Amino acid sequence: MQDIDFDKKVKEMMESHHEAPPFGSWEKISSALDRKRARVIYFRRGLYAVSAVAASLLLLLFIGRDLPEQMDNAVRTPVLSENNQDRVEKLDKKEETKPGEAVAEKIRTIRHENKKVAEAVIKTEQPEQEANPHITDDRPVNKPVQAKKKPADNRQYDNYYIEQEQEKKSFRDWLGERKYKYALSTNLSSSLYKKSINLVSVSLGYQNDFIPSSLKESVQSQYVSDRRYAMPVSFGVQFQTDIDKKFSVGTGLIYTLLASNYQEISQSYSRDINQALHYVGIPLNAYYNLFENNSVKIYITAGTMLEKGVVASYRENTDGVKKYYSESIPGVQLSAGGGLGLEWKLNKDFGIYLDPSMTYYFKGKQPSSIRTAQPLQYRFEMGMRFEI
Amino acid sequence: MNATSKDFTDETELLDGCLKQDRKAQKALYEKYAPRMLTLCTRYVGNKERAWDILHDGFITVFDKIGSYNSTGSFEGWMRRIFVNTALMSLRKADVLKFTEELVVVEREVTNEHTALDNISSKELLRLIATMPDGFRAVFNMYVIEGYSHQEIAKEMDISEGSSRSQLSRARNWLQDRLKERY
Repeated sequence: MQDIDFDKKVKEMMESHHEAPPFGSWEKISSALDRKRARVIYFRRGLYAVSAVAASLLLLLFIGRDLPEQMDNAVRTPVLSENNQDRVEKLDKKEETKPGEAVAEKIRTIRHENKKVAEAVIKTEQPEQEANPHITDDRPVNKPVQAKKKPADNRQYDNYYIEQEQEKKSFRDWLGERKYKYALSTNLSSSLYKKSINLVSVSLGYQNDFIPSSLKESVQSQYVSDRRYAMPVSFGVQFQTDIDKKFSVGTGLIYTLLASNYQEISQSYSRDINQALHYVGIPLNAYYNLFENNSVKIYITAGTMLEKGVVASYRENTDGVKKYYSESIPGVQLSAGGGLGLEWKLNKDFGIYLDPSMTYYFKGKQPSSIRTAQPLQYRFEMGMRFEI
Repeated sequence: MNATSKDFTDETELLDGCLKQDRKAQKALYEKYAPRMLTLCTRYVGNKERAWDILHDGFITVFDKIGSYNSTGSFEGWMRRIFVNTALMSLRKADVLKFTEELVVVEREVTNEHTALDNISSKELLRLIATMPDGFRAVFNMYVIEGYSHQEIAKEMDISEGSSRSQLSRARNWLQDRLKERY
């Protein structure tokens, strides 16, 4: 028998042989995988926290910086009629040096010319009216449109042009003139909800909603269970802008953690599951000021928030064997609410605020949590508000 | 086959589950391959306790790196490579893979070892291979059972090809001597 045949025979025998793995080998591997995954998750959480802090610090840096002088606002957003625009363009060609002075001069020149044009219109119109003394109210008066809003004197005439200019401001200009604020907020909901041992609910079986889908098949019907919900915690950044003196709107990005614990005890086993639901949401809020002075602002707020579950993670301990699962969260969570707000202005650009409110979480295909157990919740938001 | 692995009818479904870190799929994969991989580990490291450690570390690596399996070759082949590497790493740590000299290859006429192989069980053969001296056991396993070339063995074990050949020859002779003695 040649070496090659010997090798072949050895190979065949070894490939057909199977050794039984030791008892508990899989459980050890499973626990090691859980620990490894938990390390990854802690690392990711740390990374998110560091990123959030870094982003906040970056924003704070921007607050401290003075914006460049707005002297050239008129240059960047000229509020001129088409004819005047042509004139500015002509002047631009002539004077390319000293742009600031040149443009300021241009604006003065154009306004002066506008005045002259307007005066000319008035002068030509007035004799027309006097020259037709027999025109009665029944007959339509064929007048230029400007004549209807004819100003009484030159000062009013200036205002007249300013009004016209304002009418022609674009949405972009409007946005540029808004005052913006941003808020770093923390949100605690004190709506603690606890369900103690409840055999009736077990027989109904609705507590199975809490269990990750991978475990549902293995859950037995005869057991005693208990579930507890921790206080929901949110934090995030919100931007707010004034619409007018009393009314403002805001939006932002909010992270929410909903933590719960589920315990299940039967004759043959005990199971403890910790659930953590991570949500990211975009709120849309409206604020109406009731009272405002230099140090305090009282307002009412109403709004809605659309949240998307990022991940549902479960840490399970069944008879001492620890496992870790995670699932994606389908669908979205919509909520709406309103409340009263109070802001202490510590200086011109910075304030601390408290927004107690009531929020209703609409029913959706979301995992069981304090929101599904108690859809109407009292929320307590507090944070810092900065004016940009 | 128990209830857990019944849920995964084909290997693609099983691998997809493992890729999503589905624990049921991972368990099914473990149950399917653990006996074969434990045999491999025992062949390389020689004793049960160390083989169990390699089995544990190997599966952790498999579940961790399963995303890098590109479906071109057989999955079992890919897994075997991981377990062989894990075993070699363990042997390297234990400092038993050093070959300082090239041995003279002594070609021998193989006479009745084939009948001896027919007379022993696979379990007995595994025990014989497990008792082979550390140094050339690894080369024998890689060449004869896993099908590595001498070039690949030399690269994996950081030895010369000549060394690999001589270690293989010694391993064969050693095994044939043991078979002759016993049967």
